[in-house]
Amino acid sequence: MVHSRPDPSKEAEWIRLCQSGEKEAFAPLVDAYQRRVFSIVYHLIRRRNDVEDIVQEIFMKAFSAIGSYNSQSSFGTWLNRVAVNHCYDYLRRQRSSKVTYFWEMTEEGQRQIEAHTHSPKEGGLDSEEKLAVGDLAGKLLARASAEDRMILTLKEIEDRSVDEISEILNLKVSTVKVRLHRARKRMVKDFEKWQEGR
Amino acid sequence: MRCDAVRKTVEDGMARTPAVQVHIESCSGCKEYLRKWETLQSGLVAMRDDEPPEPSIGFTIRLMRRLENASPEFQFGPQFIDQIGRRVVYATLMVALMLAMILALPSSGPFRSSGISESVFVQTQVATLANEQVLGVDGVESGDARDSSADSAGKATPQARGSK
Repeated sequence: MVHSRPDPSKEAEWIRLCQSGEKEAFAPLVDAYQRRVFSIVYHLIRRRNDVEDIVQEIFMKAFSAIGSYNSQSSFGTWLNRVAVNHCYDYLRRQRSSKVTYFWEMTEEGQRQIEAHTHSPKEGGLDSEEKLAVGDLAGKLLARASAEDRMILTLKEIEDRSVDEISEILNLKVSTVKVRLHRARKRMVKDFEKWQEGR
Repeated sequence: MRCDAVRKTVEDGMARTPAVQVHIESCSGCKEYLRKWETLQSGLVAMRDDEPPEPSIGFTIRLMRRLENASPEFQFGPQFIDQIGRRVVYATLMVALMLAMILALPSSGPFRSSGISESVFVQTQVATLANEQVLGVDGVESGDARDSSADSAGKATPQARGSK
């Protein structure tokens, strides 16, 4: 997932102006990064109707905290960190208030998943299979803890490298690797539970 | 090779060395686990095709308007910190000043501590009453009353005695 960055010198100037109190300088930063933030928020929370409100809140938070931005990481990474932390809080609130069920899939969907699990095709998934396994993965992700959901989304859906994830989450690379592995294990276990329950 | 290490290697998309490959072929647990993980990973990757929503028209304008109307802490990051910092410093100085005043003031003064002041007050009242008696207010003999009142006065005002 590639998003083009604004010119670094212009960006630095906008940030400097924001930090000295020039609110108007925040607008070009919002324009430059809104799509990236929309993407990460949507992939994390998976609720199309809530994305815009959440992104607004994230930018409000980012503006109020911009004084603490010290160029140690790129502005995009810093903004991603604000976004991920905000989504993490949102997911934890959501998770505590909802009951998670094992859902029902169509028979055809189940059949496609089984077929792919036991004999994956050489050429990859066709569109129907993609839909089925994508649907399954999405539902399993929704059942995962906020921590697992974040790290799996950043790695597998947002396609971030382990180094990028460690910067965004402010964790050591080794910690990210361990957490990724554990999150994957838990997801596989949940998949097995679903299979047993059918 | 240990199962966990093999699974991690494959999950991370690293090259399957011969040792890894041999382990997978011989370990049904790892074979099954990796097959399931690869199914799930395909599903997660397929989710990349799900396009996120686009920002609605006027998104930035609405946000800037919201920032404009927001409470002062959203207005200027560094100025907010500066204001809060100054208030904290002033509040700390006030508290320190008040503490210093309370500790430094003499116990006989108007802000004397309640424990000492009450006994002093009672003794002063006793001395006052005794004086009234000496001056013939209650018609009591002066001698004994004067002695006791002097003692009380002496106790009550050690500083006065000392300053003599």
